[in-house]
Amino acid sequence: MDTLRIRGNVILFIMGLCLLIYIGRLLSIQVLNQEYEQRATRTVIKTRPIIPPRGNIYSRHGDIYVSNRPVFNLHITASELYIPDTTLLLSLLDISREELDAKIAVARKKFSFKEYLIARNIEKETYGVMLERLIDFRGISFSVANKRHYNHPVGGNVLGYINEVGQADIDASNGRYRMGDLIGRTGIERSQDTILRGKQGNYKVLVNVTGKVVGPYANGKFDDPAEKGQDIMLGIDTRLQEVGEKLMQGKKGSIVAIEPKSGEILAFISAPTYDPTALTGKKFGENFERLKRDSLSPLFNRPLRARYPPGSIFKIPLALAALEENIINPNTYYSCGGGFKRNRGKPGCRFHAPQKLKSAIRVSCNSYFAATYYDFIHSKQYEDQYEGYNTWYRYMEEMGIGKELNIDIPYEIKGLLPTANYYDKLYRKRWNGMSIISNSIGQGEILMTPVQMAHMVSIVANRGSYVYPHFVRAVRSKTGRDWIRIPHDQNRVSISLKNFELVIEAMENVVNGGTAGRAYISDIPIAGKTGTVENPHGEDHAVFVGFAPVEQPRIAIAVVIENAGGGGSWAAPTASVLIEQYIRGEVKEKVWEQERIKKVRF
Amino acid sequence: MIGQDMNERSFQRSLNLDTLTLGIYSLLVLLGWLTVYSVSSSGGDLGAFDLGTAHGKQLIWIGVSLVVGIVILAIDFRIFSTLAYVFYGASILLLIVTIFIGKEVNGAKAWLEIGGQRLQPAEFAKIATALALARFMSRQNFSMSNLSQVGLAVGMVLLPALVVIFQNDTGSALVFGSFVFVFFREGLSPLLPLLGIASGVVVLCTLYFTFFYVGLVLVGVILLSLIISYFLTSRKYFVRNLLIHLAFLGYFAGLSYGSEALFEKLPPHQKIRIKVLFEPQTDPYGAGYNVIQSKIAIGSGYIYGKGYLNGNYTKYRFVPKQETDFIYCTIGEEMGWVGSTLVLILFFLFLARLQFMSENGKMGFTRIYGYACMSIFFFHVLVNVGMTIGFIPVIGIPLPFFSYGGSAMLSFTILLFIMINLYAHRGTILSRSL
Repeated sequence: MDTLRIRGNVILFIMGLCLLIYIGRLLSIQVLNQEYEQRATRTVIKTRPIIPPRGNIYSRHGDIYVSNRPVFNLHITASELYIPDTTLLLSLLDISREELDAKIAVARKKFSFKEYLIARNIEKETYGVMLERLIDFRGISFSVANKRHYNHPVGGNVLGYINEVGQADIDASNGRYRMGDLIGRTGIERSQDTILRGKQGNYKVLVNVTGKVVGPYANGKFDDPAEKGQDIMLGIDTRLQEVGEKLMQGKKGSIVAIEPKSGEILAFISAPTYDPTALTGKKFGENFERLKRDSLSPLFNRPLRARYPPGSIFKIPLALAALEENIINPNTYYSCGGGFKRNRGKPGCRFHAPQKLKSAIRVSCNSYFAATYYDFIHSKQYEDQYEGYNTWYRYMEEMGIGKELNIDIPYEIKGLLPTANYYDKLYRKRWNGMSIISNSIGQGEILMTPVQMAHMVSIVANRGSYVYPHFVRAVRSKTGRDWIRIPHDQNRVSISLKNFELVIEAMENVVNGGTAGRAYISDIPIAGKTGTVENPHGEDHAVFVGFAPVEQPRIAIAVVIENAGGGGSWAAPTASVLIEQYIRGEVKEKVWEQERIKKVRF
Repeated sequence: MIGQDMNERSFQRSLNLDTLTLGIYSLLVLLGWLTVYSVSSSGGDLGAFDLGTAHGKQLIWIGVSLVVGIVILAIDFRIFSTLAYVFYGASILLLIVTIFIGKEVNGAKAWLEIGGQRLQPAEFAKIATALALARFMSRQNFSMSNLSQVGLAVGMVLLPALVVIFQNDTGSALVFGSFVFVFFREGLSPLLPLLGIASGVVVLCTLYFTFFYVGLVLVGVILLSLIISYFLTSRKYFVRNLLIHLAFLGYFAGLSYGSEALFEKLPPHQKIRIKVLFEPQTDPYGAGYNVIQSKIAIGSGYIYGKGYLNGNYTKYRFVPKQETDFIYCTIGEEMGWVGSTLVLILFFLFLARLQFMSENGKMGFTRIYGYACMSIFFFHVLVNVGMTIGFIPVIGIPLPFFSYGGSAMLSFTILLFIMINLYAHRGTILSRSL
């Protein structure tokens, strides 16, 4: 019997051993292994983002150009959903019944207890109506978001647009972007995104297994407040921008106006343009598709990305370079005879009497500049044509031709200023000044963007010193009190002051009874140069570059109007309307031109 | 007449309730209810005694159980022995009836619905089986060496288990397996349980490593054993030894092969339950979900736990069935390693006391019933806790006195209180025989 009693103790021992193993296992998963604890925390405590309002954008004069407006997102919680009047909801949301049903079906299937977003960007007014009329509805909730509001609905291609980040942006951002963040896609919104967007904050909540929020975690002790985005101020004069966009309606082309002293861009018009409001709110997708498909491509940033042969305006930098290198002097005569005789009359020209430089600029004599260019390349002071060409090349490059200006919005292109090497390839090393003579009048291989044209004339206006063109004037300090100016380097081209003065005198004459006579404004001395860009596909493009006042210039401007023929008839007067607008603050004298230009279509 | 009076008096005198058992019982029930409260109160701010909630209902069941328990203590202890076969017969009948008119819950037709309350006849069949077995095995002429008698006793245990399997309630059926302890205590050769354990290991290894590898190891082990026995024993037994070894090899190889074949034929949902035991990550949102979530909940408790009512992982219902089968998770999360260990120690004390009462009950009937009782409790704790910490496949059986559910609370109380009653009369036999 005793052995059987021992068996009873064996049984108890076995049972105790089993439980001891369990206690060991518990020690392992509870105390020794921290992974379970971390997983529990990750699962129960969820971090929700706080998206801060984006910084405002101010115009040159310190008034708000772009701000934020609250919009509302509608969420449904399928498990609590009760819709007494579907028709009412449909009409308020402006969606079809099928669309709504599909969204509710998804919510029911996947997020039954969670808030599921079904409509974005509901305007404040509609939201007000909804609050009032959806009072019997259950399982509906709203969240606030921001959308951009444009006090001046102009300059779409400057400002660019924003939308919510996608997974690709998040992956590429190295942790800077998180779900729900807004990101600038183009223009200022993109280039200044890090300043404008502020810092996303977050708050922690406890969720249950269904994902439903059951309350704040630790009373918000670990929440991280959001930082509002910083404001920025642009050099854009919204009035000037507006007048310019109106002038360019119904046309294709660009206007870029720069303050020569500072390099700040005053107006930046890409025609046709679009209302930036179209790319905000709930119509974003629809409008974006429409703009993208538009055959006139309003989303195309022409001032930055369209490139044209510069035409006769190119005679200005050529004249400056030739003067500086003593290829010509103010008294150098060249005969015309209706074309460049040394090259069998090419390029052609009107019949001009033999003339000096100033007169040649005023009448835009092709023969004169062809001769100047040829003599430049083959000047005896250089060892060979390569040295001649490269010398000329450096002057052109100095004036911003054929290189990126590092403007502060993305997608700039650099145009084309061919190198000697380029011609070596093109002509198998057998070329000379004659082969490339078209460059002299801006009709060769050279291609410039409207921004480069404006920059070039701005350098002339400033008599050789310059700041690279840019949009952003100042950034508001984080405290929100002071504007901090962005410092910029002052640069200078290697052309002497007196040569600038000579060319500027000639340019003044271009407006005072020369090819740009239509640009004349009493009391505002303007210097300029017209250009006509040969267009093999249709009517020529009209170009005008100029600045005013001639002494202490406040505005330098480049106007390109596609298919508008000669630069004198449309481009020059367009520039003059804007010059008057900027300098006088209104258009008085040029009202008639303004109306004439607005009406015309090319 | 006088003799009868004497009997009555000695009956009174020897009624000696075991306060230690009652104390542990009360502590377990209290802790159990507090845990149910912690899980169920998180849903809202209802009062502790709101009868519509799980903890409110559980309170009613605890009350009912106590009343039933007191009634059991008041009953003449001899009735349990006298009516053992009647109870047994009735419970078998009830089990069979349940197959036809029972309510299906989680795929098992194991529940009877009476007046809105669900009862699980299998719970009561365990008690009846324990009683019947105790009566049968405590007979004067019962002997563990009499094969037909042992066979009958085993049959008494297997019969309800089989019926429960027909109800598709495998978990409850397995409980009857725990009676092996009773047989072992009463003199069954330890070889048989050892064989059983070895068989279990072989089956588990087969499922984990496949038949091929298990077969290789088996051949190796048997060969080794054969060589050792060749040198240790006399040559003349060699043929006998060879035959015995071959028999074992045949048995285990057949078992391994058979279990693999059977496993392949299992319905997918059962197959995956076994699979996730080895690798819960294979199906983290399906069958592995319970195990993973349960381990996370317990594992997040650390040493001292998150504090009572602060177990947000279980509170927010990440662990399925956490007020019934997975209630141990809440203890693990809120009370940490210290708390969950203390609960296991408390259960061990409880089992130890049952063993003590069995051995000192002075009656064969009490001893056999006591070991059955102990085995049933142990099995429930072992399997229930084992599944929450990922040791045992998910088998839906409750943790005694903790899991929410009236049927379990009532049946565990009855199971225990019969034992308390039997033990309370340990002096009776002596006084009667005097």
